[in-house]
Amino acid sequence: MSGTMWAVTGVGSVAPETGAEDGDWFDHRVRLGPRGYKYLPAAAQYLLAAAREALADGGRTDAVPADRRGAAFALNGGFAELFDTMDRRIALEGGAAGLSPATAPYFAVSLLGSRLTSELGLKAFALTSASPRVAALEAVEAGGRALAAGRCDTLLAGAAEHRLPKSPAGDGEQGAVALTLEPRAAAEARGARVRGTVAARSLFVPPGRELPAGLIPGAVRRLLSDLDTEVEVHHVSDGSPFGSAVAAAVDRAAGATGRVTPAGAGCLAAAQALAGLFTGPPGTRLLTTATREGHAALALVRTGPDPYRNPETSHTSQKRGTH
Amino acid sequence: MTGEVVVTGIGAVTCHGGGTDTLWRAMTAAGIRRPDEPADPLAVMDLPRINLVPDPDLRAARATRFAVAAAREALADAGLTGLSEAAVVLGSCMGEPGPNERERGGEEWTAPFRLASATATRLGLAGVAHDIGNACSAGGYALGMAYDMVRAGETDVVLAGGSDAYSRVALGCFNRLGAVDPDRCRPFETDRAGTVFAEGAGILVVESAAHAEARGATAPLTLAGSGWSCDAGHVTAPHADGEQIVRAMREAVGPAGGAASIGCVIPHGTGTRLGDEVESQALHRVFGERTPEVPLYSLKALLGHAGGASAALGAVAGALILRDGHVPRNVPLREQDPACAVWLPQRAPVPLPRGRRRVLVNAYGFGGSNSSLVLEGAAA
Repeated sequence: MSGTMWAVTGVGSVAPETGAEDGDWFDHRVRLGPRGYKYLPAAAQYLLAAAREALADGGRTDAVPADRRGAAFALNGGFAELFDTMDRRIALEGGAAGLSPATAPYFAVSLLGSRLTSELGLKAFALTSASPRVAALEAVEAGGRALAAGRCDTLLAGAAEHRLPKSPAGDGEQGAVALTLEPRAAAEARGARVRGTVAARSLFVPPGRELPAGLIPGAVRRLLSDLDTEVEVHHVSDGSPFGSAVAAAVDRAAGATGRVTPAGAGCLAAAQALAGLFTGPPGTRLLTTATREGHAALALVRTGPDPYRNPETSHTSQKRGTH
Repeated sequence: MTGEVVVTGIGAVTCHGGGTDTLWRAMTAAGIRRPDEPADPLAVMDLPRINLVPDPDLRAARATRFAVAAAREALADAGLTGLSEAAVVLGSCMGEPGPNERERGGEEWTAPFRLASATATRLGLAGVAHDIGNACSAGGYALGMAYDMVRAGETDVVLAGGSDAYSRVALGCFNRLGAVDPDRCRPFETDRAGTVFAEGAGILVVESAAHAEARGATAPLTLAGSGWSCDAGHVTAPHADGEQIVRAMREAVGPAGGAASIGCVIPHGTGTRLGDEVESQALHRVFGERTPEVPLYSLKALLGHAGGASAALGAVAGALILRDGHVPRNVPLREQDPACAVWLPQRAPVPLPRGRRRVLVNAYGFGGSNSSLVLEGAAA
């Protein structure tokens, strides 16, 4: 394994229940507080609620100083409805003067997490990933890379989406997911419950080009180790030929047949699948997602006892493939 | 994470035209450029002003077009034609907004942040492709990510930078916020009244030193440092104490002596009142008594504010300065704001002295998203 596995100490997720009426399932006054959140875009409200859940679940971003707390967020169409509303106002309904000054700053999608960074004092950095459908796993990957590079000591990774103004895929996705990540040793030192560990890697192949033979096996090998004898595989697929080819290649490389769930219009389905892996029975699970644009991402989740850990020393072993 | 990271190629598209030669000619000419008015009848706003790239097709996927052109130039500059594998990391504030904005009433929403995949596809590059949406610091974050990827040994070559194009939504919102200067982009001037957006793209070939050396790349620049931070405060305004932008700069310039060897700063300075002041004061904290001796080159006075591409264009400009050995004179200021007590040479170019062949590039965005990076030239 070439990448560090990061401990996940908190998981939060907000999503509409089956059958919930659009726009009626999330009341920001109930979920966030009676004042101060009205003008926050819906996706940002969801993300804030999910982050609070992750903290309530055990994530402690405040275990380190504010300038060592990083953030990596993801979205695709999370602000699309807002943009469409603002554009309609500018172009057809009286012009830019009619925009709300409270929402006008949100033309920048990086404001998805601005209230969150403010409330939690996440000052190390706030990175916003936006690649189609893989952005959530990319946020885990890029946030983990930043942890490894020493840019922060703890990380809040999250993804949020909101309905789309116009989409052949339906109304888009709604909800958010948040995870708190940190080095396992740090989590254990403060007595945190570790829900599991995660590492993610992404790749890209131009559409139309054949999947290089060694690409997926190499990516899987870098994540899995020789101790991962039993692996469950889960694919989030957009149904594209590339997505199917990646899923088949992952199955072959991992020696398992993965179950497939459909991707949504954005990156939330993969984020929700990732969060779900931390609440199942102990095991090693590989999550993949791939898109018609040529993006693919893989995330490895281990829950339960870490096969590489030496209980006597409580330090990660230096066996082959671990860092 | 110890591998040296170099920059072997640069490419740019700006309101002055395509190519780094065009950019350098504009930098050395230091002429005043008035903003354009986009040919968009739906841009109903008081100040539809933006510095447009001279490409008349407003319906095109402009941000992608700019990114691809800059990337092609950067690869050619690096001598990396025929490449089939490389990472692409692109920052942008708006991505590719055109398809969702231009027609008003189009049938289908299109994911706007697909610049990296589109660029990689056009260039036939497999590897990884990341889109970073960190507002006006996006290009700085993209270059910082490339720096981390190479140092971690994940990849040998990254095409990294940023691209932004005209967005009716962004310009309308900036109008509503009262942040558009009706005259032009005038960072650090006393009577500045906001900023003026610009289109453009800047791309750098970021490479492991070992890879560059093995293929015989000559005299590459070094990407010597990268700092990220977040104010975690106000949505639009920088924190008045500048604490986090100071931290990003200090991380980029490195420990003891790092600031002393900086020979030029390309500031973020957009022309907004508080932003220019806070950055000026932060520079004093980083450089101390030497601040009056450190020349600033205000790229935005020349190009306008290229949003998520601004840091990448700043890095391209920094590379040009390091290659030439001189900091060009700035676009003349009518009167410099005394609250911005920094040195903006206006009469003549300033040579980079021996031992100070390092350029610091700053970029800040909404949400207090800060980034700084340092490019270093070979010893003179």
